[in-house]
Amino acid sequence: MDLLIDVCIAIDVCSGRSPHAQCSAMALQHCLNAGGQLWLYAGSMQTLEYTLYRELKRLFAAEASAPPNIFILQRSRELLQAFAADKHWLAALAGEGDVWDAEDLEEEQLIRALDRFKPGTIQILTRDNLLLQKCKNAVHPEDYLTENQNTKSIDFIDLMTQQGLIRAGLENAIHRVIHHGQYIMGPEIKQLEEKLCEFVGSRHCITCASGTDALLMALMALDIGPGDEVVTVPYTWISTAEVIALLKARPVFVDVQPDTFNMDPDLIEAAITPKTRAIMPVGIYGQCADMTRINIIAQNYNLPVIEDGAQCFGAIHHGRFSCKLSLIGCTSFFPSKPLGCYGDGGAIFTDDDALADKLCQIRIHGQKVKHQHPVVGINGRLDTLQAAILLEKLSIFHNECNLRRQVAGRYDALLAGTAGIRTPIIADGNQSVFAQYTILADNRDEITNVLQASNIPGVAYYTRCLHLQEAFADLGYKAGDFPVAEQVATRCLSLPMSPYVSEVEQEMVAQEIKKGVVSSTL
Amino acid sequence: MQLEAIYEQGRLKFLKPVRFKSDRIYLKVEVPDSEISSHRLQDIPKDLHEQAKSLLDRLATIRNAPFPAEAQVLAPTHRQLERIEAFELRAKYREQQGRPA
Repeated sequence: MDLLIDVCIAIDVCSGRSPHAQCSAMALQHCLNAGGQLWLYAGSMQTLEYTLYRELKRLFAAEASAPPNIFILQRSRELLQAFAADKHWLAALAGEGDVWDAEDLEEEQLIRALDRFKPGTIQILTRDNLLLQKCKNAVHPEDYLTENQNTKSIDFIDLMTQQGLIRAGLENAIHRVIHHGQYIMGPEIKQLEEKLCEFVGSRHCITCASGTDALLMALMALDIGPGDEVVTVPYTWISTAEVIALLKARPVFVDVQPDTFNMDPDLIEAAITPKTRAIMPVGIYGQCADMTRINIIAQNYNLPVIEDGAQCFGAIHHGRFSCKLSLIGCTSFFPSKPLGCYGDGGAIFTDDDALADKLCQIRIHGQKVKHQHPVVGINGRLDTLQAAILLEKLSIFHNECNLRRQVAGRYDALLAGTAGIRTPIIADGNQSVFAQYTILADNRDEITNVLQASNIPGVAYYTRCLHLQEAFADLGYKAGDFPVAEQVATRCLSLPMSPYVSEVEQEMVAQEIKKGVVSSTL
Repeated sequence: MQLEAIYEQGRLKFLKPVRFKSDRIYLKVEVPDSEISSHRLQDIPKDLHEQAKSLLDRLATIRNAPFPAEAQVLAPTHRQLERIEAFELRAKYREQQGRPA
C-alpha cells in the first residue's frame, strides 16, 4: 500500500511537531518497510513551503534570538528537500485543476489524484478530520500503524522501481509528445534511432512496432518467401518461427546447446539445403548465440544471418553488442525486455545501406515517397510515445545492464552447490544481459509449488518447444527430434529478475528453492 | 437535549430525524469505553520507533543547524511577504475548523 502524504504530516515530521511527529514518522517508515511508496503531491509545493515556514517561525520565536524570516524560509526549503529525497513526486494533472466547486481545493486535488492509482493500492495519510471523513481512502497515522500492512510480494519483473528513478524525465517526455502532436514518426523516432545506433555501434537503426515485426521486416527485406527455408531453433518464443511461416517459408529447426540453450553451431550445416535462404539464431534469456561460429558457417554457404536479439539487447559477444553481430540484428522493446517501452516496440540494425533503405520502406507500407509503393510493406512504425519513453530508459540502460549482471552473480553465489539445480552458464566471450535468470531444476514442479506458497513468482518458459506446437504440425517434426531443447523445456525455471531485485529478496528466493529441493527428495 | 445516534465510518447518523439551525455545531458525544481502540503507540515494534527517531533526528539536525551571520541577511521579497500573509490566513481558517495546518 502506497501513501500520499498530506501537508500536515510532512509538517509534523519536518518541524518535529509535538506530539504528532513520532507517530507520523512511524507511519511513513511502516509504509516503506512494507515495500510501499511514499508520494508528495507536486501541486502542494508552495503550501508545504509556507506552512513549514509558519511552523518553524513559531518554534524559533520561543528562542532568545529568533533568526530573520528570510533564514527561516530558507531553512524550510532545506528541510523539505531532505524530507522529499526518498519520496516520489506525484504530478498535478489537468483534471485536478478544475476543483472550484469543492469546499477545500487542496483536499479535493489530493482526493482526485488517487483516481489514477489502482483501487486499494494507495491511501492519503492525514490527521485532518474533515479529510478523513470525506475520503474513504484517507487514513490517520495511528490507524495506519495498527493496520497489518501486507509486505509487498516479489515481482517477477520489477518495472516500478525503474519508473520511480526516471519518473520526472518520463513524464516530461510523454507530455512533450502529447503537446507537439506528432504521434506517428515524430522527432523522438529519429532521436531514438540515432541513440540506438550509437549504443550498438551500428550504421543504421530502423525502429518498428514490435520485435515480431522486426523479424518479419528483416525476412521481407531479404525477399524470403514461399518455398524458402530459414534455419532457426525450436527453443524460443513463437515469433521467431511464426514470421517465417507467415511468409510461407519453412522454419528448419536445429537443436540448442545444452549449456547456453542457444543454437548449436555443430548442427547447422546438416540443416542447410539448396532452399535455405537465411540463418536466424536467437539469444535466449539475454545471452548471444555463438554468432562468431554461426557467421563463419553462413559465410561458407553465402547465407545472411538475422540475429533474433529480442531477449539479449545490451548483451556482448566478443566485445561487440548484440544486433551488431551479423547482417541484420533485430530486437524487441516489449515491456519486460531489458530495454522495454510501455507497449510494443522493436528495432532492426544493419550496416548495409540498401537493406536499411528497403527496411524503411517496408515499415511504412512499402512507401518510398508519398503515395509511391515500390514494394509491399506493413504498418510497422514505432509510436512516437514509445520512442520518447525509450529515450528516457536508454539513458540509464548501460547501468541497468551492469546491475542485472550483479543480480545474476548474487543468484549464482546463493544457489551454488544446490543439489538438482543448474545455474546459467555463460559462454566464453559472452556477457549476458540476463533478460531472465533461468535455472534448470530436476524437480521444477515441486520447487515452483514451494515458491508459489511463499508468494514468489517463478515462471517456466518455454515448456513446449516450437516443433511440438500444433501451429507447426505441418512441418512434420515429432517428439525426440530435438532432445536437448525438449529436455531444457522440462527443467527450465526463470526466477524474479530485474536490475533492482534486492539482496534480501534474492536470499528469500534462494531459501525457498532450497526448501523445494529438500521437499522433493522426501 | 440527548439524541441517539450511530457512528459509522466518521459520521454520526441520528436515529430520529432532527433539523439543526446551523451547518456546524458543537456536540458532546458519549462513547462506550469498550468501543475505544486500545491501541497505543508503545505497542508498535521498537525498531519502527527507532527508524522514525532516526528520520526525525536527521531532520532536527538540519532544522537546528546554525544560521548564517546577520550581515548577509536579505529581507523577504514583497512576493514572499504576500505569500506569508496568505498562508497565515489559510492556517487561521483551518484552525477555526479544528484542522491541522
